[in-house]
Amino acid sequence: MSNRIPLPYSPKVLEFFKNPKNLGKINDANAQATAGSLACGDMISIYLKIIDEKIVKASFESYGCAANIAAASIMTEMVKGKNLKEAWEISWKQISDALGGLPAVKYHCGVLAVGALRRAIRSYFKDKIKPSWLPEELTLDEKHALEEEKLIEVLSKKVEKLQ
Amino acid sequence: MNELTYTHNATEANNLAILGTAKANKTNRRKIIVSSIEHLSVIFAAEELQRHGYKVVKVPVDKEGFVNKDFLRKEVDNETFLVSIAPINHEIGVIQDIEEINDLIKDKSSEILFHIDASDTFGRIKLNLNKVDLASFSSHKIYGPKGAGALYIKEGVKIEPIIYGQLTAQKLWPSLENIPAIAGFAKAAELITSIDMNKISYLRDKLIEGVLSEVEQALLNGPRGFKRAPDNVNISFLHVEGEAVTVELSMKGVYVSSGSACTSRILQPSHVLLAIGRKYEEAHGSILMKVTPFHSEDDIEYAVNQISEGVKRLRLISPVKGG
Repeated sequence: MSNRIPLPYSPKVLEFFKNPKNLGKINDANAQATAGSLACGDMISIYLKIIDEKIVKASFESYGCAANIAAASIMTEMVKGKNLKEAWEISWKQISDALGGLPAVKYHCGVLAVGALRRAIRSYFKDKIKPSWLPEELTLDEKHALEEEKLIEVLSKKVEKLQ
Repeated sequence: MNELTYTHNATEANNLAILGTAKANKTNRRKIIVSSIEHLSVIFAAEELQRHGYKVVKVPVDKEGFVNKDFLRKEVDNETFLVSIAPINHEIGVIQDIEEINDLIKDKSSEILFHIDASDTFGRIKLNLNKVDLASFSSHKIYGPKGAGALYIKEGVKIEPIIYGQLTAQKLWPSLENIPAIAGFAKAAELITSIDMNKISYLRDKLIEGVLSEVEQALLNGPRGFKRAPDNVNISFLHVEGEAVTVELSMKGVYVSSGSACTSRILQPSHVLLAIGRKYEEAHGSILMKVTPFHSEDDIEYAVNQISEGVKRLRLISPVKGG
């Protein structure tokens, strides 16, 4: 396994991996979403408690590498107290910066976290009048999550066929 | 000709074995057969030859990793140029019956070359080099320093260099030899013969049984008992991701590796685990461990406890809780 090396994680990533903040479901969450899949080896669930379009509680669960767990956790810290528009505008780059920088091969963990958050925000507006800042079309981060899920479906089917 | 050519690692030795013999190939034979669980330096070197008119056939393996001999028997024919199958697999430790495979090949034709990547085999089980044409070795796999490898080439096997430069002591690998590493390699080769592999396989079984009894939903990859390398342990933990387990354990002083996509630069899970029929999520949750002569029973006990606690903690974080 010589091509498999431990990654150079920042102390901040290791700190959030070791002691993740906002872990677990929120019982009275009124918005939630999951992005990624088991087959990808990359999955994030986000739970939000929203009052008057403001995030008062945020939590996560994560199946994935150390960077995945840290990215999901720090993102829940970042969105707490923000209104939904502000939360929507958080980018994967901001998450990476807040973690002291993710290794390049782990950027997609930040993207998946943003994808999960935006899905959760969309789910909140499912039966409500959509605000003007919420785009009709999926954003790049949401598309990425979708692409990852579809790609792995195709790959797993290929492998199944070979057996 | 000297039968041993020093390289800097087994990747170079595997490339020299496959590309170098193909370069010297004056026959019409253009088929290369490898097992589907070979090291990527064997698979990729063979696939490189597809650009030069060669056909590569991958022999499937069963759920424990044993190569399908009926498939192999059917594929070895008068087109076959070279077969490469490792006696011990580098990830799941399955031991193939190399003498039987050699007989199967040579019964068809003595012209067919048989190469083995013996990096993980040397020192673990008896190795009869009379039964192979080429064999690759690696220093760090026998606890020697990194930076030295070797290719054994049986006298009479036709092979040409694949790299060029100023002629040094070695015709087939004309680059500066890493003398300190080779000296360490030689010493390690001498020392490994005195290691008690029965003690290591005893510790291996203690580690396997310990982990499987302490951790629920854990699957052993590869066979049990005497058909498994004495030092190899490879276990998949469901609902956790292997890279996270390696990071978690490294903080506790337990250093392991994983076949998860997340530990790979190409973000693909281990081809070996997929070949034995593991699902993607089972490959993502895999951990590879090696028991060494430097480990004690206390170390194994400590590792079992840390693995059990680590996997439990990560399962708490995971949204997938299982049944």
